[in-house]
Amino acid sequence: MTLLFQTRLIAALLFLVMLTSTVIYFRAASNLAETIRTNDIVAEIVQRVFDLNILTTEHLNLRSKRSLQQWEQSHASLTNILLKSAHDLDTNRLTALNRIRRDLVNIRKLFFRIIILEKRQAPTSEQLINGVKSQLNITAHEIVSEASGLRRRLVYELANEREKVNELLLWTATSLLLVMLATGFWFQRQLLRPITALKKHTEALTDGDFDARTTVRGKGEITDLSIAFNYLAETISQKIHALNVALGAAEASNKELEAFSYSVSHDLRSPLRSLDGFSKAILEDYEDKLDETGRDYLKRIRLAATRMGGLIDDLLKLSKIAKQDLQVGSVNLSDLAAEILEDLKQANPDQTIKFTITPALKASGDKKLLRIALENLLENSVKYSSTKDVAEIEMGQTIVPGRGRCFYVQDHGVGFNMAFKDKLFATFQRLHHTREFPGTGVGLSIVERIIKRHGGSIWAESEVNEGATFYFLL
Amino acid sequence: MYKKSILLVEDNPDDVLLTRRALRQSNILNEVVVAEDGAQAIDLLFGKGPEDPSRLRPELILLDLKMPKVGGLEVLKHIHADDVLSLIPVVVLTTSNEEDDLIRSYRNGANSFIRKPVDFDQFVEAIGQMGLYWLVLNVGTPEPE
Repeated sequence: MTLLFQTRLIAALLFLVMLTSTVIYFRAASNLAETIRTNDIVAEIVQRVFDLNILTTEHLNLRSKRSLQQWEQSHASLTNILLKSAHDLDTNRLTALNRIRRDLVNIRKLFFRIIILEKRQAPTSEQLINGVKSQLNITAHEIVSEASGLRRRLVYELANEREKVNELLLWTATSLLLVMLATGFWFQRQLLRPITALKKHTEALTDGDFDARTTVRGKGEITDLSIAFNYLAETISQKIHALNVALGAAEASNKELEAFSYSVSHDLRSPLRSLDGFSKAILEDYEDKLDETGRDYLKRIRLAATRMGGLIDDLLKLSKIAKQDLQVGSVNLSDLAAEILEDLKQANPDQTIKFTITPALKASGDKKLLRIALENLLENSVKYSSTKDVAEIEMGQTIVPGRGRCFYVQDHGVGFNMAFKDKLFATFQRLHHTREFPGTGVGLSIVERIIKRHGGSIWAESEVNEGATFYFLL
Repeated sequence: MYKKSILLVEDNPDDVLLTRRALRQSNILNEVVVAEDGAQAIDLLFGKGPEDPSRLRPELILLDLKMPKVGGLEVLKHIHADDVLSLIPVVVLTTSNEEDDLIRSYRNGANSFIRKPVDFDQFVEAIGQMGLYWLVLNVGTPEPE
């Protein structure tokens, strides 16, 4: 049974209990109301019979026309009450009422017999009148006793009805309580227990125990959820295993790379030193035996060796950036850029450098690495502005549509052809000849690597001879 | 017999030649004794025992790190552990600029760490300054009687 079905079942059960109780309650209440009404009617009948008795005695004493009229009125209204109430009474009570009605007709007959007998004024009639009078009295008594019986029955019924309503209330309360208890039990069994089990499972997962499985059984949503959880754990476990394997491979290759870069730094440089050193030695010791071309060739060998040394050093720098751990903190890029540009001014005394930096550019990242990135970017700006009279460099923050708020470094130097923008950040790729602008083609690779290590991105826009703008996000 | 020499521990013959040349060009005229690897250096420095009279007592040791058989760091450890030898200044002269090498060298008692530049002019400059400092300016330990 699914949870949804069970919940609906409980709701339906509750609704049924409520409905039944309400129906029974209203029926009992209406019975009660009817009994009370009948009781009122009977009480009135008794009262009227007493009134009629008094009026009978009064008329027999006074014999006025008015008292006769009163008697007639009283009798008529009593009959009226009986007729009216006959409509809405059940058969049991109706029999009693019919008996009362018959008695009432008798009373009327007896009453007029007394009046006729008294009008005759015969000497024998005194005894006869007294007989009829007592008969009338008896009939009145009969009505009263009949009514009293009815009332007693009614009181008994009333008490019964009350008892019934009370019982009903008790029954409703009990069944509600039972349904609630059952719901509570069901809730605990169907929901709380499996949820607790699932919670324990997630805790185990959080602690890294991906082999843990939940043991919720049965059919229904919670079991489905539990199966989904197990599946999730299984998937995570597999992914972690795959990651661990990849990590192991990465660690191994990282170690290889370290060994490689160590031997690059050590073994590749030594021959270069020999090339340069011995070229120099020839230039010094055998100068007189060489002509201009020979000396030029040796100088070229020396330059090439030194350049290759530079390349190797840059390559090592690049690989070191990938290895270094990030130490993230708040970095003021404006201060950093200002410091770097001041150093660049001192290093390039022949160049006029003007810079505008938006103050308080804050970023979160590794200060040492961001410094290296900015150094490379700003050095480039200065370098590629060297053909201009004044190197104008700007750094700030702007919003680029589709990219969001990013930093930028802008110069008005020689720029580059946007057709080659894909080669811009590639290692050892240069968009200018070394004789125009010296360099190894590693600087922007280093910048890109640093920005990427921060989870950011970098791109550039330029126009030849109009300058270049480098945008970066951190 | 005590020799006022420089011990150059270097496996690369090119580097030996270039170092000698750089020393000469920097007017450092001490005798240069060359050990071609760490094992040879240890043999020269320790001889047959502490009382071996032929034991080498250089004024300065120039030590390469990456060498066959016994590496520079191993030699450093031996020197550092010896009462007499640990008084001799050791300059690590290597191609590597790995931070690990640097830290391990100093930890094992190196007095200086110089990375050999590719550019020979810079190399001569570096050797000259190093020699000037360790052989002229620096006040070493007194010579044993």
